[in-house]
Amino acid sequence: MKTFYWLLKREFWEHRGAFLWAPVITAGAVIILNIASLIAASISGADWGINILWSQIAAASPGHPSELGSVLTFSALVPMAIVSIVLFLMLFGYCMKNLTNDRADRSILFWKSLPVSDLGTVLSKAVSAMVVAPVIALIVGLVSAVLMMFTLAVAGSMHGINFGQVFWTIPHLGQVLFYMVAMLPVYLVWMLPTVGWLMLCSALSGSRMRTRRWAIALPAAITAVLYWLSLIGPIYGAGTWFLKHVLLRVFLGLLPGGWNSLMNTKQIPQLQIFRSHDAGTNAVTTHIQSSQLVPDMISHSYHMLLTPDFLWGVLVGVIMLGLAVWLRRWRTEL
Amino acid sequence: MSNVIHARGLAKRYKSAKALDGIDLDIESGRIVGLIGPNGAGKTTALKAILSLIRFDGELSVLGMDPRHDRNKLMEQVCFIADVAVLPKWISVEQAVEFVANVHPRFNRARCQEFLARTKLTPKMRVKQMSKGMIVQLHLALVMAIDARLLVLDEPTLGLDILYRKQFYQRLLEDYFDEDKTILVTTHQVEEIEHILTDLVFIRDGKVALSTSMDALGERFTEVMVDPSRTEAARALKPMDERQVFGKSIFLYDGVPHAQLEALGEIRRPSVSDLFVATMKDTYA
Repeated sequence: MKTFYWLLKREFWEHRGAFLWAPVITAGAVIILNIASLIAASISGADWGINILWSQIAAASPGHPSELGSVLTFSALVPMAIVSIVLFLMLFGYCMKNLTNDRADRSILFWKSLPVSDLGTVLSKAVSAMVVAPVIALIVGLVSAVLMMFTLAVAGSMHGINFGQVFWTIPHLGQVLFYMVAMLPVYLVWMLPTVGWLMLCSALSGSRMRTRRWAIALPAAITAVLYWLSLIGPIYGAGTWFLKHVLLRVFLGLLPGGWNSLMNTKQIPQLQIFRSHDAGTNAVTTHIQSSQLVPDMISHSYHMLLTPDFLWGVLVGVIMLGLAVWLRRWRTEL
Repeated sequence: MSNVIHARGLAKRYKSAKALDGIDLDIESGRIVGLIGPNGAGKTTALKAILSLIRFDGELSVLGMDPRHDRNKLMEQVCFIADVAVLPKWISVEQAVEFVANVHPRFNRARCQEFLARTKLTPKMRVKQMSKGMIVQLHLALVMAIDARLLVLDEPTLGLDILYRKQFYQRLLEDYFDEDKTILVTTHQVEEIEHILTDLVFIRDGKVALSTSMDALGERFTEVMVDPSRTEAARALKPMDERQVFGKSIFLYDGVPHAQLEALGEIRRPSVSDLFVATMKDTYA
């Protein structure tokens, strides 16, 4: 257990830039840009953009959460979305090289001179990708969402808008942030097969170029062949199936919320709120619908854990990580 | 007390070539063994089998364990320095010490700090900022602070200047080696380690060409400096090798009694490098 902790720490030392600084710097940049544009807007004072929004919120009757308020809530999530994309790109790179790099620079000979099991090593890299990096990104995302909301609230108060009115709109910012935290275990299970696949390719490959060829080009080529076979007829629909469940999974597997691509949105009527922002919506109905939205999305995501896409994913992911451990045991060179 | 390394018929075949072709090896505790051979002879392959970095055929036990199965346990007792470039570039001195201290049960941090204090290394310094010599100093400080029973060195001083090379072996002898430890070293710089070896193994084309203790080597092999007038008599005793130095011929004999050779001229123990050249002379032919 102690060794495993230090293996995780080792990964963090090596990848501090990707795990910590990349999300911190992007989130920081978003917030600074936002503050700068708020300042620019209030100096110019023109009738555009955020200034119109302020006046519309101010005009909405007090005590009734307006949909414009929820727009503000979601704009607070912008840094979080950007951090998610950074996390996605960073994990893709990390998983594709974490079992190649130390063979390329031969430092594997140092790591292997220590009494550390290959299982422990491979698991520490998988856990870094599936837990450490996402948790850091989540914390950075949550902090930046709150900071973003705070700057918006301060800016709003200068336009005569009550902070409470903005903050307590629906969906409640706290509820949305809770959704992000609650999705972490689902995200972990979701990404397992993709992490397994990329790390297996990384353990197998003789160079970083070749990792990419294995990891992406191989499933893409199989998709193309299956599509072609579907045209001839013997296995109708196989290409589409493979595209949706394998090729897309290679990419979406590392994207926070990627499983929503498989979700049937009709099962969550509240999701309609995202589609119709028309002014005629009855405020009370909106309130009921959307306060139910986050719990519904959470329960729906957890139900998806039992669907074949997740269950097979776990099986495939575990097998691939097992193969990566075996390769790690005997392959010390490129 | 069983042997530190015991191998019978150790073999490794790569796709096209035999890297190890049935090696028998016995190494006792408290020895410093030089594993010497030309490029491609199989030295590194043998070390990799001992360190359980590759699969192999045949019988091999290291410290009484089969490296194929008990690798984690084995690596608590075995240390390893490959040539200089294997410490990861990103790691700093303090991180390296911290990590090894926390994953290695036999690591003595105070001892390591003591060794580091004798160098110019500072805690925050990263490997990528160090010269080759400094990297080796760091690696050596880490390894010497581990109370291991077998230390494997694969060309540890490759690319180092002579000051670092001398210091490297001096440190090992003065501060590390004792009768409970065993050192197995491969190098091409035979002359520099000749005086510290207790045993010598020549390896060629995946086979052991010669395995002897340095004491027995002096008994078995003799070099004689012969006057030109007596070269015929010298050749009659079937020397392994003959070379000319300053008009005199130097003959190298295997297993000819000293008494018989003293009649031919001045006798002495051959250097390991001369013996190596004589043994391997047609390797690349």
